Amino acid sequence: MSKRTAFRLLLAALILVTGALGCARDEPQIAMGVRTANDHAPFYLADKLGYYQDEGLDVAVHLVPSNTEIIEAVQRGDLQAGAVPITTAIAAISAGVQIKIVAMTGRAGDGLLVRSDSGIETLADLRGRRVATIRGSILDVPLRVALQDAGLDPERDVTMIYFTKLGDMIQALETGQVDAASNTEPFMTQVERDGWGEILCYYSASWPDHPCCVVFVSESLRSERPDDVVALMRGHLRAVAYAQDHPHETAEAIVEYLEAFDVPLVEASLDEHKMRIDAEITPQEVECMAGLMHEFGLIERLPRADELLDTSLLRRAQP
Amino acid sequence: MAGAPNWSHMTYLQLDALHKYYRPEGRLLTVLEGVDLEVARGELLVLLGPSGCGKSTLLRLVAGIESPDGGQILLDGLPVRGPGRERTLVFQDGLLFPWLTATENVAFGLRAMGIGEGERRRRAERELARLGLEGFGALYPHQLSLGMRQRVAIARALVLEPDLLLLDEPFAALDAARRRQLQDDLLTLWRGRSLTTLFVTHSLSEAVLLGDRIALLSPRPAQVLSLFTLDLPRPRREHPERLDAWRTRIGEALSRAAGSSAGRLTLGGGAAMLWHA
Amino acid sequence: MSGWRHRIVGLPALLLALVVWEVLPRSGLLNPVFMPPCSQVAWRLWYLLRSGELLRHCGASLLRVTLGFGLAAALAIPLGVLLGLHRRLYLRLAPLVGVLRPISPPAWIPLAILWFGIGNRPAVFIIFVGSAASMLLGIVAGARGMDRRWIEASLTLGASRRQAVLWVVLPALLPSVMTQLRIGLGLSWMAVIAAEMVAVNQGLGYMMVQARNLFQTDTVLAGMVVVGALGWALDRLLLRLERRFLGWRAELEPHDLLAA
Repeated sequence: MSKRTAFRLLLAALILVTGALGCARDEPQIAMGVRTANDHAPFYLADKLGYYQDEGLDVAVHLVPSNTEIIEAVQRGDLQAGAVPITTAIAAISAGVQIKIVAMTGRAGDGLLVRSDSGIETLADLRGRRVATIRGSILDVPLRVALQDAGLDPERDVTMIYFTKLGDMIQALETGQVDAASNTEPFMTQVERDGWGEILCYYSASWPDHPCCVVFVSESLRSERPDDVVALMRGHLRAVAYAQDHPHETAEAIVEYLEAFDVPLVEASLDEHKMRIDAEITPQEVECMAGLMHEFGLIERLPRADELLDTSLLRRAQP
Repeated sequence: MAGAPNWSHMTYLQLDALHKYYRPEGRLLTVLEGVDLEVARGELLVLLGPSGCGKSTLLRLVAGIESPDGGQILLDGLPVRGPGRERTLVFQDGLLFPWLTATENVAFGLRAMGIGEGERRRRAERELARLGLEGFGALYPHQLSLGMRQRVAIARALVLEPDLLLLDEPFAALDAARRRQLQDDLLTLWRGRSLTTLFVTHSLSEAVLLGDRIALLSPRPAQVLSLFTLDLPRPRREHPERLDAWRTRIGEALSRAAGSSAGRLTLGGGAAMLWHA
Repeated sequence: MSGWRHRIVGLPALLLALVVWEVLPRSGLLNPVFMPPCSQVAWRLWYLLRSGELLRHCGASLLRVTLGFGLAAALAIPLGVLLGLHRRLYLRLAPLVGVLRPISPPAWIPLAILWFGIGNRPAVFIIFVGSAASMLLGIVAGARGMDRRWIEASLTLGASRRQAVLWVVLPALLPSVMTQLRIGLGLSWMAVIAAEMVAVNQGLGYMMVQARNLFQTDTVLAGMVVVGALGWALDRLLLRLERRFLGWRAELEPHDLLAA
């Protein structure tokens, strides 16, 4: 057998095997990136309870350490869908990343932490103080809104210190490097339980039920396989409904996937007054968030509503 | 200038039973074994021996850069401790400081003495002129030829008016013409100042040309094998046949003395004579 | 090649690279989200410059580098000379320094935040540790390799030990010290970008991290261009200083300064 023939046979064999492997799956595949956070519980639940499989989908839920990495993975094509804070999604779309928001996953759940001994009782007490936040994030925009509500100019009346990690902000607060730290659940409840800090306020006080994390899909997935997205939405809706009715099991799932905290703590943090898992999303609130980001100078280009959101797929999934 | 050699019979430098060894990696390496030597004031004594025999070490001991392990060194009756400008050493490759100009190099020792800038510059330039380097003072060593560098090195030593001038094969790296020139210059300077001088070389012709006396050193461990007093009138180049005679005589002395290790000695004409154990 | 000629010989390759950088993303062969075209980055640079933001960030980074590098040099030079000349002391300390040196700057970040909190201090600390050990070891090597006979020569010329150190050792070591300073400055500049990932409000590293989190790749690239340009400029500055103080070295081979 000549070399050329051998090579061609090998190539053919490879193609056949790959094709066979590909065909072995009769379930379409979606790779999804989510974070380790309370409001990503629906994904842990859907993964654990097999809701996606019930819809005929093979969804691989990947726990990714950072929001930026989720978006970057989608840009590369390694992921086709994900859950990130709404601010991350808006910033990405504003910068030209080809994704669209399709549903909500969680609301509220963030606020300001202060040390118990700091003497800071109200937002107005923060004048001239140092506040830790992650610039341009979901911890940032509602914070600015809350400060404005209390009569403070976020750029001039307080000193914003920008971090990149939640844990660093907690540490900086504990050691006195900052006077307040913008943070989210379940860290907030944890700090209160530890005793050295207390929750100054939740941002939902100035912006009730504000959107927190959203579900998005890549444009290619949305345009090429819309039915799969609808099926994904169905699974998501089931998981959201389950979470709303079963806080204890939800807390268990969160602890299992985060590999941190304990069930009673997480269950306490899932209190309705603190945060709410929800799938509903409206164009108004998305536009409002985008408008605020633009106003605060966090994004350069204000995207149009239709660039940001497509709720049609969620609608189709609802009975 | 003919006549008797211009040194008094007073012992100026005395080396008694000098002993020096090293311990490279635990082995014992004896370099000097009981070296005895007396140098008279004003004389030019040549230390002649094969390469590696320890003559440089001997010079370094006299200079005070290293200390003997046995025996003592007396200068004018007083024991020598550590280096000092009264016993200055001219190294084989001059060792000029590359970051200083020629003038600054020569002025170095003066600066160490605390002499002011104007005065030391004046003295340095005068010394350079004496060595034929007038006008070259502002140049850096890398801009000077080998011969010029050696002159600067000698000027640097002489400007300090040392009691004892030590030279470690200073002309070894030069070509024949320049070496000749510098040998003559050295003799002129030496005679002018009655400078007690210790000159180390492995060249038989150089030894015979320069030395009032020649101390012949054995290969390592070194000892003084014999001392020759050269009753040759100066300038010696005018008496080539007598130089020849001395070369032969000392050359024979070399062959007769059996060495325990191999050494190399050069005759003036370039023919090499190899020692064997 | 004469003066100006050798400067422009590198231009065609540079221009070609810029052209490729412009054409590939614009034509769609390269996804512009991953690699914005050259003109967009240039525009972004201009925008950042005009708004004063770029100068603010550059100033912060340069300040930190100056402080961190300055501290590292202030430690490394005297300690390096000392250890280079005293063998016993060197043997005692060498393993400790040898173990600290490979720890790269980002590895020091968590400790830096813990010890110094937020602001310039942790950044300066990280830059310091990033360059001090390397410069120290380099200067020690230079000192150990110095021709000892110069010290001997100076002693036989009547210099005291103090004079020998000041007038001979320091000038003799100046070339190797300058080389180590240039290396150390390069390391410092690299460390500052890593260091600016700690909680600070400004600096080129901070600017690039923030831009990444807001998916503004053109700002990231603009930052890289500035980092590269400033790093190059800092090196040239040191090179100038070196030429000025070491003019006597012009024709010298490096081995001339080492022991024969």
